[in-house]
Amino acid sequence: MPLLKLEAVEKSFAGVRALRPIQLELAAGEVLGLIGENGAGKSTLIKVLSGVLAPDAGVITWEGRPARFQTPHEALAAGIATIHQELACCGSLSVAENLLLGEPWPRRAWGGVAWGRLEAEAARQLAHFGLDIAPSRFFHELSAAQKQEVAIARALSRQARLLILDEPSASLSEPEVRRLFEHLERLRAAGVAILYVSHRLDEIVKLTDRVAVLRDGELVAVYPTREADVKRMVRDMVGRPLDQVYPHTRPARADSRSLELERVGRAGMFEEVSFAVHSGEIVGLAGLVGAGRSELARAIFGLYPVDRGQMRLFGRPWTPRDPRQALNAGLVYVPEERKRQGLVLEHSVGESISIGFSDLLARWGLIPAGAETARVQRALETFAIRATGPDQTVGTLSGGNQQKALLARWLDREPRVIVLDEPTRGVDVGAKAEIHALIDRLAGQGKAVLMVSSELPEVLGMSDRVLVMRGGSVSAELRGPAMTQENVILAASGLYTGEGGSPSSC
Amino acid sequence: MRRWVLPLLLLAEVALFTAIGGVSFHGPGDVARYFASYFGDLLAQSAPVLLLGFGMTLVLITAGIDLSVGSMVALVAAVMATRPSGPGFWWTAVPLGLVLAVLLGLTNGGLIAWLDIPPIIATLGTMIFYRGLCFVVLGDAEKSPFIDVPGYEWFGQFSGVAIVVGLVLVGGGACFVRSRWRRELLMLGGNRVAARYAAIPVNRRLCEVYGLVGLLAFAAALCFTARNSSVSASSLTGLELKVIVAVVLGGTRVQGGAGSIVGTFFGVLVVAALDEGLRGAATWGDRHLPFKISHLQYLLLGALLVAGVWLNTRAGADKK
Amino acid sequence: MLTRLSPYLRQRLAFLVAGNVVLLVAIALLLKQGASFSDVLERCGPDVAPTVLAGLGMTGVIFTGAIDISIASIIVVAGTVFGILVQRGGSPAACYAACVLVTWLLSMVNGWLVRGLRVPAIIITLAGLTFYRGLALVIADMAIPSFTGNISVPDEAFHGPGKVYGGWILVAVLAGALAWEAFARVPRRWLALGSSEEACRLAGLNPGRILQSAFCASGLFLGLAGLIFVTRVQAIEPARMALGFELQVIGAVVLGGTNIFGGEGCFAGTVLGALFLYFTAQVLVYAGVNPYFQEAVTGALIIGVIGLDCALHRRRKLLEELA
Repeated sequence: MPLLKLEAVEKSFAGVRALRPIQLELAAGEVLGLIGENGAGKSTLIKVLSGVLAPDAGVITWEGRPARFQTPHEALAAGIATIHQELACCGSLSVAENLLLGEPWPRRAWGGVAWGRLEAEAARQLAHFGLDIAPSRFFHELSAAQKQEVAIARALSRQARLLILDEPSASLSEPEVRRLFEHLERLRAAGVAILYVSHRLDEIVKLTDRVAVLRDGELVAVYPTREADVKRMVRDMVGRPLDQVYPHTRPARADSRSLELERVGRAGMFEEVSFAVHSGEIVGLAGLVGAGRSELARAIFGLYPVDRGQMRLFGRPWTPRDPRQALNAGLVYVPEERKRQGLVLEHSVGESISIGFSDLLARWGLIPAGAETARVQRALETFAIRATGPDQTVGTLSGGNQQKALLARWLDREPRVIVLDEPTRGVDVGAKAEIHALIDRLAGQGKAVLMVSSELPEVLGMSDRVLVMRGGSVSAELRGPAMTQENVILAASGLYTGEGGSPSSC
Repeated sequence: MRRWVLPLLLLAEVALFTAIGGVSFHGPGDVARYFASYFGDLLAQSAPVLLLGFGMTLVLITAGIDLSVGSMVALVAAVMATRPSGPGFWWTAVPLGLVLAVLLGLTNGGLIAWLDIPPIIATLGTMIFYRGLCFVVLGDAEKSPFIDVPGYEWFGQFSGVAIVVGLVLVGGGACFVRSRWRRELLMLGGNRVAARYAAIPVNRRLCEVYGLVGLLAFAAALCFTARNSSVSASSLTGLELKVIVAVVLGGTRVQGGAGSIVGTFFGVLVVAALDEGLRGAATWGDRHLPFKISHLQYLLLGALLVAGVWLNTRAGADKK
Repeated sequence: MLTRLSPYLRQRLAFLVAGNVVLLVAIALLLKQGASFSDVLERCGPDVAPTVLAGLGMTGVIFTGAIDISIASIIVVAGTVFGILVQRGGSPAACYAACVLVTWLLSMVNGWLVRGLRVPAIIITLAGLTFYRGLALVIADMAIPSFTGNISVPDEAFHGPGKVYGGWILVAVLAGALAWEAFARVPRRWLALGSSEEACRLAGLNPGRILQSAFCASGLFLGLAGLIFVTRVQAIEPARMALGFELQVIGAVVLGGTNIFGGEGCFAGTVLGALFLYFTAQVLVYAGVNPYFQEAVTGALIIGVIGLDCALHRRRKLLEELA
C-alpha cells in the first residue's frame, strides 16, 4: 500500500491552472525526484502536500486515510515534513531551542528550564541524525547547510514519514551536498519516503529511485531513474518543439555594441563577467537560481555599483549612480518578481503603466491629464493588455496581463537597451506568445535585449546567443548549433565541456 | 458609501452640538447667518490642523507618520515670540520661523530616510526633543509679541486663513493632484521596493515630504499665533493626535499607498467640530454629565483613531 | 546565562557598564561640598525604579516585535484610581493593589485589541496614549466632586513604595526578573515570535497567546513601576503626569541592545540603559545645566542612540530589500 497517493488533485489561481489533475503514488523508503521548469507547478504541488494550500479538487490519501490539511502544522503532525528553500527559523535562539521549539522542555524541580538537559536532548537528536553541531550555538551562526541539517533533524524527531525537500542543494557546496545525500540514504534505509525537488538533474540521477516530470501543471512522465538520462529528462521537461513557438522575424543583428561589460564584478554577487550586447540582438542569460544573473542585471541598471571592471553604454563609459540615470540614457530593467519588485497591487493599471513615462510627459512637474490618458490607452492597446479600462486595479488582472502592464511601463518610452528578468514567469501560454512576439519586434527595431530567463525553451528559442552563469561568473557562451537545452543545463551545473565554452566579448 | 459618511457625520455633529448649545433661530435667514459664521469660525480655528493635515496626508501616503508636528509648531511660534515686536517683526521673526520650521522638518526626514529609524520612533523622539527646546527657549513664560505686529492678526481671521488655506489647497490640491511628485509618493508608500526599481529617489522624496510638513508647520504657527496672540512652552500639546485622527478619518490608510486631501479636509472639519462642540457644550455638560465634557475629547480621539484605521484596513483588504 | 547572549549584546553590556562607571565618576567629581555620594546612590534606587521596571515590561513586548507607547497614560489611570481610593479612605495595601491591578488590566486590554482587531500595536497604543489619559480625567471628574486638576495625597503613609522602599522593590523584582529570564520558557517564546512568526506557527505555537503573555507580563512590571511612580508625588495630576515617560523607557530598551523590531535582546541591557540615561540626566543637573535643557538633551540622546542602532542595521537592510 503506498504511503502517499494523489488522485486527480488540481489547483488553479485566478484563471491560471497551476496543477492539472495529478496522479501520483509514493511508497515508504522511496526517493522520488520531482523535476520541471519554473512555473511548471512544483512549488504549488509542494504547498498542497505541506498543507499551505488546499487543493481545488482531488483526493490525497496519506497512510491509507484521506487527508485534508488546513495548516502546515497539521501536515507536520501527520508526518509530512517540508524543508523549504527559505527556512523559517528563529535566528537569535540556540540550535537546541529551535530544534525543540513547541515541544515540552525538560524542567527542574522548582520549575525552571533545565538547560543542560535540553541541550543534552538536542545533542541526542542531532547525533542520532549524525550531525556534529553544538546545541548551544546561536542558530544564525550556522551555515546554510547546517541550518538545513538541523531542520531535517527536527522533522525526523517528529516522526516524519515523508520528507519533502525543495531545492535543498541550492545554497550548498559540493561536500555539503554529499553529506546531505548520506543523510538521505540513511533515512531511506529507515523507511522514510523522500520527495526531492530540484533543478539539478545530475543529483536526481544519483539519488532518486523514480523521476516525476511536471510540465505546465501536468505530470507528463513518471519512470524509474535507471531508465532516465539527462537528455530524456530535459526533453520531458521542455516538451514543445522549439521552432514553431518562437518568432524570429527580425533581421540579422547590427554591429554596434550597445552594452559592453568588461570583467565586471561585485563582491559576493558576481565576478569577471564580460560580454557585449549589440543593437538588434537578443542575448539570453541562463543559469540556476543564485547564479548571480539578477544581481548583474540590477548593477547594469544602476541599483548598486560594481566594484571592479568597466561597463560601456553606446561606446561611452557607463557608471550609473542610480536608475534614473539609466532611464535617461535609454536603458531599462524589468524586474523578476512583478508583485514584489514591480507593481503596487492596489493601484490601477493606468497608474502602474504611466509611472514609467511620467518624466517624459510631465511639464513643470505636472502630468497633463489628456496626454496621459491617451498614452495609457495606446499602451493598453499596443501591449494587448486585457483590462476593463485604465482604472482597473492591477491586482485583479491575470498574471499575464500584470506582466504585460509592467513591460508596458518600461517599453513604452522606447528604450534602446532592455534588460528583462524572467519576462514570462507565471504567465499563461497565450500571453507568453504575445510577449515573445513583442520582444522579437523590439530587437527588430534595433534595440539591444539582455534576457534573463530560467525557461530553457524561451532562452534558446528567443536568443541569438546564450550566456550561462554559474556561481557568479559566466561558465559558457553558446551559439549556433551548441545552443541546446542539454548544453545549457550542463553548463549551469558546471559539467559543460563542449565548444563555445569560454565566452568571448565579441 | 464611505464618501458620504464624513459629510453626514459632520452635519450630525453640528446639529447635535447646536441643539445642546441651546441656540434658537428666528427664521431661515438666521440659520444661514449662524452657520456661515459658524463654519467660518471653525475654519479659522482649525487652520493649524487643516494645514498640518495636508502634510500629514502626504506623510501617511508614504507609509510614515509624524508625531512631532505639535511640538514643531510650538517651537516655531516660541522662537518667533522671542523677537521684538513691531513692524520689524516681519523681517526678523517671520523668515526665521520659516527657515527653522523647514529645518525641523528636514531633521525628521533625515532621521527617517538616511538613518532608517522607523518614523514613529523618530518622530516620537523629535516630538519630545522639540518640546524640550520650547522650554529652553521660553522657560515658564508666556510671550505675546504678536499683538503689536501690524497686520499680523489677519492670519487669525477668516479672511487670512481662507487665503492661506486656499493657497495650500490650490498649490496642494490642483497642482498636487496632477503632479508627478504625488505619483512617486503613492508608489513609495505602496511598495517601497518597487519604487526603487521604478527609479524613484526614495530617500530624497521622504526628506521632501517631511520638509514640507515643516513648511506647513510654519504656516500653522502663523495662524495659531495670530489667533491666540500668545504662546507658551506647552502650547498645542496633543495637536498631532488630532491631525492624525483627522487624516485617518478622511480615509487615508496608515499602511501607505493611498490618500485623499479632500477626505482630510472633511476629517479636519469633523475633528474641529467635535472640539468646538465639546467646548461649547461645557455648561450643558456640567449640568447633565458627571464629568467634564471637554475630557471626552481624549476618549473620542483615541476611539476614532482605532476605528478609522480598522475601517481603512478592512476596506483595503476587501479591495484585494 | 551569559553564554546565551550574543557577542553583540555582550559588547553592548560592556559598553554600558563602562559608560555608567564614567558617569558615576563624573557625578562624584561634580558634587559640591556637603553633598554625599552615597546619598546619590541611595536616591538612585527609587528614582530610576519606574523606568527600569517599566523597561523590563517593555523589553518583553518589544521582544515579540510589538510596542506599547501608552504606558505613561496607563500609569496615569492607575494613579488616578489610587488617588481616589486614598481620598475615600482606603488602606494603603488596598490602594497599592488597585494601582497595580488597573495597570495590568489596561495592558491586557492593549494586548486583546492588537490580537483581535489586527491593527498594528503602534496604532492601538498611540490611541491608548490619548484615550487612557482622557479616561483618567473622566474617572477623576466622576469620583471627585469639584475636581480641579490634581488629587493631593499628602499622607506619608501612602508614600511608602515610592520614597521609602522603592529601591528594595526594584532590587527584588530585578533579581526575580533576571532569574526568570534565565530559566523560564516564556521569554524565549517572545524572542521566537519576534524572530519568525512563521516558525512559531509551524512549531504549533499560538502567536496570539504569546503576544498576550508579553502584554500580561508588561502589565505586571508596569504596575509596580506605576506604584512607585505615583507614590513619589504629593499630588496626582492626570493631565500632566508622566509626560514623555514612554520615550525614556523605549530609549532605555534600545540603548540596552534590544532590537526595536524584535527577536533579540536582554533584560540586563534595559537596566543598564535606564541607569545610563538616569546618570546622564544627573550629570546635567550637577553640572548646573539649565533644567530646561535637560529634557531636550535627554531627548536628543535617545534619538541619537536609536539612530545609531538603526543606521548600523541599515546597509544590510537595503541590499536585502532590493534582492
